[in-house]
Amino acid sequence: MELSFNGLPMRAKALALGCAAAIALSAAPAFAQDYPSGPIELVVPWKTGGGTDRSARLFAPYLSEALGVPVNVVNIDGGGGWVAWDQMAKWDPGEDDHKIGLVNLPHVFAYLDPKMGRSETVEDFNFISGQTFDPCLWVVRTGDERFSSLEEFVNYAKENPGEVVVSTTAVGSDDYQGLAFAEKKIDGFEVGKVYANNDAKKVQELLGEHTDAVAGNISYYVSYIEDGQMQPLAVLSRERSPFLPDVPTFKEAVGVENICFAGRTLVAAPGLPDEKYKVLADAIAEAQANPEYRDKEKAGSSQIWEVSGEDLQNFIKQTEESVKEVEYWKQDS
Amino acid sequence: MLIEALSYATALLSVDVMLVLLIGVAVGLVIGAIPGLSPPMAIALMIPVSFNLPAEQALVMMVACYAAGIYAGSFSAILLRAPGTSASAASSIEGYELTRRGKAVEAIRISTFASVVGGLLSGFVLLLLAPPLAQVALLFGPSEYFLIAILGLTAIASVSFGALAKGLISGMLGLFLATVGIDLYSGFPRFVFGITPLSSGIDIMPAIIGLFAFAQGLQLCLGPAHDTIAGVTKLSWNLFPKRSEIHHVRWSLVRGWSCGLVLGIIPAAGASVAQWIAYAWEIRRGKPGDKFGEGEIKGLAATEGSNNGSTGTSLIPMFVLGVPGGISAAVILGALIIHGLQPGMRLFTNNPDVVYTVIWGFILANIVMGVLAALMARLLAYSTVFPKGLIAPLILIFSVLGTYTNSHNLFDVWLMIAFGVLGYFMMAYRFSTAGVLLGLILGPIAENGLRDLMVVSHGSPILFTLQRPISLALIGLIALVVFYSTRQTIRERRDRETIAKVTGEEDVAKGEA
Repeated sequence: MELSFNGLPMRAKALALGCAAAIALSAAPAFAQDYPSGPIELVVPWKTGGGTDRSARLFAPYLSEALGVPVNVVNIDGGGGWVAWDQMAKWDPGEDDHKIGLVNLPHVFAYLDPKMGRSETVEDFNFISGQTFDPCLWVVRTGDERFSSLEEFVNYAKENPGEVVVSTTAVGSDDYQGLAFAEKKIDGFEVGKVYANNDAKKVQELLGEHTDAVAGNISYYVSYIEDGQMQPLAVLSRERSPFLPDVPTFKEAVGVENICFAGRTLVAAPGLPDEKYKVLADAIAEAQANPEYRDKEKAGSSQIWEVSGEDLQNFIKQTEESVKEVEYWKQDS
Repeated sequence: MLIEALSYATALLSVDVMLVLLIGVAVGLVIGAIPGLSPPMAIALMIPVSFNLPAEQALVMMVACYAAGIYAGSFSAILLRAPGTSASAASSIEGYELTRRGKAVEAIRISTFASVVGGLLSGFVLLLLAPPLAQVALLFGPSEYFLIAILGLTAIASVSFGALAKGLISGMLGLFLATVGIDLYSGFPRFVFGITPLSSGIDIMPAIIGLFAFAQGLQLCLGPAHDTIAGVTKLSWNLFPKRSEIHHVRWSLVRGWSCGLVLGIIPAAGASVAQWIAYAWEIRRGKPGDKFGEGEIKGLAATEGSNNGSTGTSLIPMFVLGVPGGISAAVILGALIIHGLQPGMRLFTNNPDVVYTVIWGFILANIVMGVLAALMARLLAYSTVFPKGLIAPLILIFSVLGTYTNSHNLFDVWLMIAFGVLGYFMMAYRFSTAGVLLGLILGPIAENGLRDLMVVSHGSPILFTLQRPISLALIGLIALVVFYSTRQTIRERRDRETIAKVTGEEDVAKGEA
């Protein structure tokens, strides 16, 4: 039972007719014109309503335009993404060639935790491209007299051990990794942590003065910063964010490199024939370049992530290394 | 401010806005009434459609869908004991009992009155008091959440209808099931046993559909196939409540609405907690002669008033603070951002046209939903005069379909069926299925509240809690509830013992205790 308004039946029909005509005219049937032969499923590994779901539903119509067939968003929820990822790793290149899945970094690296007992690794996924990229960010309340820069924040936490409490997403998330990394690299820096499943809870805790800072992602917090309710300390990325050009990177602020982000990538069935893979990759690139789509993502302060091929592979490997370095699963609490 | 707000009401009077409002209400009514298809799902499906609409039209459509969806969840709850949304689970208890007694239409008309007026009240609170109330929402921190969860858990005593020990067992089972899944604090997979879908915990939807709808379907399969649920073949067609009916439940309505209005403001509490607190409050205020658990219209008025009473106020923290109170509000927030609008006080100063049009749209949607519902309810109420042999399999099929559509995860379907079988036997042995659900909903709020409290209070939670006025008020409420419940129980026992002595039948005291 699939409900979707993503389809563009008129356009699809017109294109299908066009394709048929083209095939009839050219004596040699070109493979690319047979594929995709029907609607594409865009699998979101979470329930309706989350950030990944919103982004997928935003992207689907433009991808549909580029592919010439409807793109239906399907939510497969459960297991912190793993119910869907387990399926994506096992997709059959023949049967499941009309499926594209979203894989979240660094969440997928949960397999590194031996307690999870997972056999999959990133090698099991057939990555096509990045989708969106969202670096981590630390913010405090505007007007907090104790600290207004990352340096002051770190020093305050060092001088008053156990006093500073940070709202963050659960252990294993990108937000948590940023905190764990900082505690590991900066001597004497340690903060109390309150965990949430969503950013709404973190915002409420910070603005209600229940906690002192939030570890989150840029896209969610830009509006609070522009609104004057929150003050950014640093972005946890290599370069400054185009959405917050005045905010220093973690390294600029305290001299320690600390890079964490939430990235969404698109994957296809493992072993998908090169021709089909190329059709999907080209369509994704075309959709990502669509100015209308870019405006929509920009409105939500979300960065489109145009990375594919070897660059993406290298990036994923690097991220895996940095997750391994934190070894969050070895904490004893 | 009122004058300013009023001036935007005229924006509703365009064909475009009225059209999207109608679509929103219609979609909400249909999706809400089907168990498993939830309002957030319907709203999320509207996101791509809403690209091509101006911001205020897109948002009017979504808030209309939200209000109608929460209300329509009660149809299937009342008629079939198969709640369409988590917000209408409590309504299924009294609502269905009324249906069984041939009073389906009476139940629906009270539900409609309670929902429409509750929604309107909630809408006007949103219109007039949003900014100050948003500040109240911020006062709720870890200690308050922990105490609200405890207050909610006291409702277990009420929904166990005298069988307290059985009710507590149900509640404990719910609390236990709520601990399944990866622990937020340590990343440890608790009671997961290597089963991937369990690592994110037990979802509420399969539990509700299983415990209520599927269990109900199983039970209906047992009796003679040509019997009807209501035991009647004709229903009254009068969908407008009589003045005397409203008068009879007036205080129940007030209690329900106030629970909804207040709890709606608190993010993450909302309708699913408000309905139980309202219901438990109602039972405690019950007078001799009230038949709670056996089709008491007062209980239905309270639960129905509370769930729609929370719809408008739950949008307050979303608009003013950017903190969505529930999944539906989160989806609406997403749409707001896609249309280039940033939530916060700036929204009220920079885009008053959009905000106030949307709020007026929400208010109007509540009226439209009442009218459309009157048409729909007539058709739906027929389901209770159909033979069980037809209705029971339909409930089972919709339970499976609804669960699968919710997550596209087959494991959830098996989980739902397991809950269904559990629910069936619990009903048969008079255990409270509502107790399990309460434990499952409130367990995480209580656990995370307590653990957060330990961190923010730096290890001295009691001293910390005693310094917070809202926490103290909540402690007072809990004490009051426990005091009243105990007094009531002791009195009932004394009464029974007196009866037993008088009649010399000790069985009465034994059998009912």
